[in-house]
Amino acid sequence: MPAIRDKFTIHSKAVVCQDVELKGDITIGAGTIVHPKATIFAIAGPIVVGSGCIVEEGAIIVNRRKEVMRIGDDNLFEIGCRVESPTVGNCNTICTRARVHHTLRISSYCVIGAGVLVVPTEDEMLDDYTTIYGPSAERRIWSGRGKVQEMDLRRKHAEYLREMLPKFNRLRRGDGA
Amino acid sequence: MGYDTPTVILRGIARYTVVPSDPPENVDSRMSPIVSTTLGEPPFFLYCNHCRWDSAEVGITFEKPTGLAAQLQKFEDSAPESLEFERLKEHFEPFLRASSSSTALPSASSHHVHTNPITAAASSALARDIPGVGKYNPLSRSRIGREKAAHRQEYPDYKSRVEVGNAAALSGEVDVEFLTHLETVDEVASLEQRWTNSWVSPLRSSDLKPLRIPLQSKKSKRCPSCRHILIKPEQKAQSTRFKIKLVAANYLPAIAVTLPHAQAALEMMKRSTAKSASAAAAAEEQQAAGALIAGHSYSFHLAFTNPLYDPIQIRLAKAVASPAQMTDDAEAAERARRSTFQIQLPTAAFPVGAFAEAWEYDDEDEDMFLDDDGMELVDARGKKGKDGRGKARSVGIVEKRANVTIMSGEVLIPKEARGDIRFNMLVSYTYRSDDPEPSEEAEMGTPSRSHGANKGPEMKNFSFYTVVDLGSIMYREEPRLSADL
Amino acid sequence: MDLPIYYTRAEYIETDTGNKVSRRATISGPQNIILGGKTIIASGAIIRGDLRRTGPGHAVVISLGRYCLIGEGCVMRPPYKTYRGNFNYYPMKIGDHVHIGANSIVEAATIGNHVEIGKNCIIGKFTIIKDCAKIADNTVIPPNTVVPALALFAGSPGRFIEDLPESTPEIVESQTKQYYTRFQPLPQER
Repeated sequence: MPAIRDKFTIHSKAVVCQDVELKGDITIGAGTIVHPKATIFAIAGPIVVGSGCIVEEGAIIVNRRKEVMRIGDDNLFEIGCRVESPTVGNCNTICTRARVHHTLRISSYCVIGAGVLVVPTEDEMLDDYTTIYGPSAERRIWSGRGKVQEMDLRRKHAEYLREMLPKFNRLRRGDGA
Repeated sequence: MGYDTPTVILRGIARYTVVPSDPPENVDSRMSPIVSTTLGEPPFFLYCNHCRWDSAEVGITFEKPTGLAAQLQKFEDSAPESLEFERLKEHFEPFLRASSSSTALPSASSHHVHTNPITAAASSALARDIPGVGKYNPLSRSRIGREKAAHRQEYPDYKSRVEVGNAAALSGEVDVEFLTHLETVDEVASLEQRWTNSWVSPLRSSDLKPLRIPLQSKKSKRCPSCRHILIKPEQKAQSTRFKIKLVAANYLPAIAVTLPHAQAALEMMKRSTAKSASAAAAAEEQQAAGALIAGHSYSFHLAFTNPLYDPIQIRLAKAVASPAQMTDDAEAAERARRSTFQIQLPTAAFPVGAFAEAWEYDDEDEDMFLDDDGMELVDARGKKGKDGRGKARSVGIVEKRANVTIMSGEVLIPKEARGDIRFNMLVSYTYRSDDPEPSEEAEMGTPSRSHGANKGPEMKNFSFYTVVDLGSIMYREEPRLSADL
Repeated sequence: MDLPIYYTRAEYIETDTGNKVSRRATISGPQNIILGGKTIIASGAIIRGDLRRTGPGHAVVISLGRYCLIGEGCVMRPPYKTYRGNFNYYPMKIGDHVHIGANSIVEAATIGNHVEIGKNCIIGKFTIIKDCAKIADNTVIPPNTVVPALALFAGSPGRFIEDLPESTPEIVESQTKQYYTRFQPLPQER
């Protein structure tokens, strides 16, 4: 495999901490927060993260495929989760230490519960509002009740972090931007 | 506020939080900060933080986020079970009243039951508070049965709200219909979700209701033989303190189990730099770090820590498990035989020093036991002073200091052995107490306590069983395991 | 029996009050973190003191009591929520003699005294763990859970398994103290 060229495109309104591991071709959208100790690896193809996402400490986002890994807006990647999904829609929550294999595509308003491991043997696309939870990765469709409040919380959370994180952490800037 | 079990799909039990509803949908408009939600927009519902189930799915909503129990009451009161129960109570009320008045006459009942007012009040409170659960009172029940036989003619037959046969037939057909159209097993409520309820719970997992979490209670405990109070918690709910707290840990020696070879291996991994001689000695015995491999024998260490202010003498015995009940079952016997491992424990009594504050231990360590007349220590002490990881692996004392004595034992694992190495051990210990007799600790003892002379120093004997778990065969094991006391 | 747990002196910083903090731990916003003394923070731990409550003045984000252990690779992070429309992080308070096993993630609001949390646990936001409770290894406690005193919780979602013996505080206290004594620098270090 040819050596991957590092190319980081970080929007000027994004907050990416210095203590973050980035590798490969990565684009990070406006207002997205990447906490210290997070990892984004574009091993094969590039990774494009939309706006308003929060990537917490210890979270790992990996693209093992050649195609572009697209992550939409307002997604929350909680502490120590690992996501290899080739596409992630909007407003999803990947809970603490959840692991999602590259055979799973995530649409929108999905929740992968804490500590859940999702490894479909064949390529699969989750429906909107799918919740996966528990040790045996059971699934159900969330009614969506409470989503407005949740998104309100997420936006305020990102807003808070954009203000507070730079006070305590050194930030990383994109190559050209 | 504790609300429990989801219901749906969820196998487990999670907790709910009460959350307000979303405001009317104008989602995704980033411009509108949702101020109203924060104050709470009715209706409220229960929301599971684990699987995102919410109580609105089964039609349970609340007008306000407080006093949920009262708000739920109306659902529960109108449940068919509650109505039936009310009806039953109503039906039998005159009968109960009559029977209770008749028992007042000594002639009416052969065995007169004394019910004190408190029990009566408590049992009636029980009957009142829990819909669907009758009060448990075997005495009165049998009495009623007797009375009933006597007065049967006087009371009309009970007519239930719904004819039992019809109801069953009705729901039966529905159930069959439901089951034939089943797509996944998850649609049926699991046994775990249903069987703890004392009333009929829905068959469909989508119909299950949240359950309340039972409150944790604080319990007082008494000695079963002498009725002495051992545990009495403080009244205050938040407090974890006890007014009376007599626990075995203060009287029984604490036992900790270690596998020296596993520890040595662990240490070797930690400091791969300097290979100490002792670690190497353990390594030759065994390559895989810390594993108990079939076909080998291992030594294990038991550290006894004496909590008493008097030195004690301990004697160990391996308690032989009662032979397999199905001895006639050759296969089971064979399996049992195959899985047996052999445990060698030190047989001689050995001393454990008295507990003392740290500054009280001087160099008197050596002669601490010499004044303990009547005790034969020689055999046990013979092997004292060897390093725990030395190559001598015989059974006996490994180390003795302060109030801790470490004994080593040996386990021989046959090649075919599988499973956990776990054995029962009888620990007997003796000490001489200068305390005058009626102290609590004496009461603590097991029934095997010897009742010595009540004057002067007294020898006390105690014994208890414990399970020693050395770990599983063939698996990599934790180096430090504690014995279940 | 009480074999020492050795560490290399170079890795740990020891404070006046006997706290031992690994240089390989990530301590964000240390000015907002209080350690009670004789508390150990192992390598790879992440403690987020930077996620502080907004508002003027000094804000304590995470306070730990005495004889605590934050195991290797643990993440300690204060919980957040919106209250009356305002977003905020809320402080995390941990009592004395609290051991948290390796690789556990804790976003609790309050943890009492003499609490044992196993390895690989996930303690959800705003969880309240009362005194002398124990969380078994690999347990997932959902957000807002209250773990009562002297209770053992296990599973995913974590739930009540059994009552712990009344002697738990003494046992845990002696264990945590012993751990601190055993935790010492390598003797041959020069």
